[in-house]
Formats: sequence, C-alpha cells, structure tokens
Amino acid sequence: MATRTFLSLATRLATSVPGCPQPVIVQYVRDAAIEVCERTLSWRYMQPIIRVTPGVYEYPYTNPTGSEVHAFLTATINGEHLEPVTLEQLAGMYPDWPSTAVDKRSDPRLICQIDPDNFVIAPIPDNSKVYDIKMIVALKPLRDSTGMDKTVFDELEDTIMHGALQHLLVLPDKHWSDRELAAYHSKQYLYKTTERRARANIGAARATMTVKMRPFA
Amino acid sequence: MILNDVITEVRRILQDINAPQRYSDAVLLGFANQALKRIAVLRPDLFAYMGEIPTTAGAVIQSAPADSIRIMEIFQVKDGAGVTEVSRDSLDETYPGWMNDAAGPTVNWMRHVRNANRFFIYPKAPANQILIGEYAQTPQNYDGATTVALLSDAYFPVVVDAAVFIAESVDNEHVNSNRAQLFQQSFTQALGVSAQSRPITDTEESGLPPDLVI
Repeated sequence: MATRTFLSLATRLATSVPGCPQPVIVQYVRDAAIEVCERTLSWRYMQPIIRVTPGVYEYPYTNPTGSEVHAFLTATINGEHLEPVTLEQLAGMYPDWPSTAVDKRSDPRLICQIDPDNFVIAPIPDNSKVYDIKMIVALKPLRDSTGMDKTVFDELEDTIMHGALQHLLVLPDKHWSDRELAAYHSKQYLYKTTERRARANIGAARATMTVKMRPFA
Repeated sequence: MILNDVITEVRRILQDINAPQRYSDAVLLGFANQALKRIAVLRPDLFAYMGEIPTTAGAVIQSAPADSIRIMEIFQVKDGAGVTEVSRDSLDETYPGWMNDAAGPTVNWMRHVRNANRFFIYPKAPANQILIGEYAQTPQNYDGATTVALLSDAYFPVVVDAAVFIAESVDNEHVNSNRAQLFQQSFTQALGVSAQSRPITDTEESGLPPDLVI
C-alpha cells in the first residue's frame, strides 16, 4: 500500500490561508481526512483472515500502520454471515456472555465493535472446529498519522481540502481568517462528502441505482 | 558615489575650500560615513542587501549576519524550495511542540518582533543549510575612493546634506545652527519624500486612485 503524506496537500491549501504555518495546515488536513473517512467510509480494507481461538471472544483488528477501524462493512465466519449488533443487543441475546460455560459455547453468529482497535464475537467460540473470520472494514487515519493510503487520498483530495479550509478559515483573529470563504468551503465540503459517500455506497458504479418500491401495507 | 566627491561638495557648501581649512579631509570623511549610517537608520530599505544567510544547525532561533541592521525577508533555501513567512503565535497555539520537530529544510520563517536581527525557522535547521534572504546592511566605514555599495547615486545630495548638517552641528565659532537645522530638514525630508513617492513607481496605478486609471 503506497502512502501519501498529508504534507503533500499543504502547498495546495497555503494560498488560501496566507501566513498559516505549514504544521498547522498539516494538522487540519489530517483532521479533515479523518472526518472525511468517517463520513464517507471510502477507505475500505480487507483484513487478513483472523483465526479464532476457542474460548476467546475479543480480537484486535489488523490494520495498516497509521490507521484504525471506523466501522466494519462486512464480516463472515467460515463463509457464514456474522450479524453486526450493538453491545446492548448482544448482551440481551446472550445474558451469560462473556462468562459462558464451556458446554454452552458454539459457533459465533454476532459481531460487535468495542473500540477502533478491537471487536467481539458471540457466542463464545467452541473448539468443535476451526473458525476463520473475514472482514472488510472502513478505515480512518490515526490522530498522529503523517499520511494515508495514496489511492484513497487521491480520490478524496478535494473533499479533504474543503474540510480543512472550512475549519482553518474560521480561526479567530488570524491573518487568513475569512468567514465568507469558510462558508463557501463548508458548502463544498458538505456537497462533496455526500457525493463521495453515495459513490462509495454504490461501489463507484456508473449506472443508476434502482430501488424496488415497498408496499405500504 | 565615492565619499571624496561628497567631501568636495561639502567643502563648497561650507565655503571651506581655501587653506587653512576648518575641517580636515579625515574629519569630513568621518562626517560622510556618519551620514551614510544615519540614512541607513532612517531608511534601512536603501541598504537592502540580498545574499546568503547561513543557519545554525539544530536551532530554530537564527541570527542575521553581523552587518545586518534588520532582517527584511527570507526567500528560499539555497538550491532548495521557497520559504514563506508565517505567524509564530499561530504555531505556538496550534502546535506547541514545533520547536522540537526533527531538523529539515526550512519551510516557514517568523520574525522576532522585538529583535530586528533574530528570526525563527521551522523546522530546525539541518547542518550546512544556507538561506537566501534580504537584510538591511550596515554601511561600512568607507575610504574616500571606494564606491559606496547599495545606495543609489541619486542619493548623493542627501549624503551631502547630512554631512553638512553634521559639520554645522560641531560646537565651535564657525558653525551656524540655522544652517544645521536647514540641512537636517533637507536630508530627512528627501528621505521621507522618496519613500512617499514609491507608490508612483511601484504600483500599477502609479499612485493614482483606481477609478482614475483605465
């Protein structure tokens, strides 16, 4: 995975925020990149297969360096769908989880993200067979990352630029403060994040999506 | 411009041509050199020198060369990229650890508002880095035959006026306080007016209101 640095976008932004130090621009580019990734779920990544250990319900994600998981998009275990649920739903369905007795363990059917680094599965896996989890996740850069996947960054560059500028231009009492321009970039940012999210959702397809009408009753 | 020409003109104005002269050549040369330094203080831009500014490795606080009156601009890293001036306050507020980042080619520079010959760079300077910049250079002490650097020949009368003002300010029976004041005003006004006339030459509108320019 080729990485592109946030610094590489700084020169493009510099003319819009004259007098703004480069590290400040880079910081806002990184923050915008995180936000754009969260909103569009465009940085998609297939995790290496995770081999489940009997009795172990919590697993760490294995992401590229400098990234963390914002959400998982699909998860299967041995080719079967893992149902994403909230932690409350999981606890409601399996009240004895995670202290399930050994004889009540079985094949996992539910998955829930605990935090950007870890997820849990339920029921607690038994040792009747080998379980392998496949996942596609949506990533975002870490707060101290210096860059992100080049392909994704190239794709989201305009959106990230507008996101960074909308925040930089509303900083109070700076040489470059300009609320009118900030409003312009804010609108562009909103438009582009929506467009990028829709594009990611339909798999970057060109054809119009069709929706089957649901009966009212 | 050479200061021997200034001395000749000053003697003519002071009517100090015939022997025995009231002021020796050495004294008038001192006055002429002092005149240059006074002009440099009033109008440092007239002595703007563009050249190399070596940096101290591993430091963000840098010093202008020893002959600098004040730093004016940093343009680029020698054989490298351009350097932009930025706000140090913004850097301090948003990224307080900036002084500790690893050394690398300079990308930003910041003035030290209370110290005309010190400035900050980001990031720390690597070894052997040289910046290309501009600073107001203190005029050296010239002998009478060496051409004065940087200052245009058009300022010859200003140097003469300043030297006459100094000569007429000496505390002895030959001086004339009114003439001293006259020449002081003449040289300071010439410097002031020349600064005010810059919009005529340095702007597209030539100093006119924009609505009068087609």
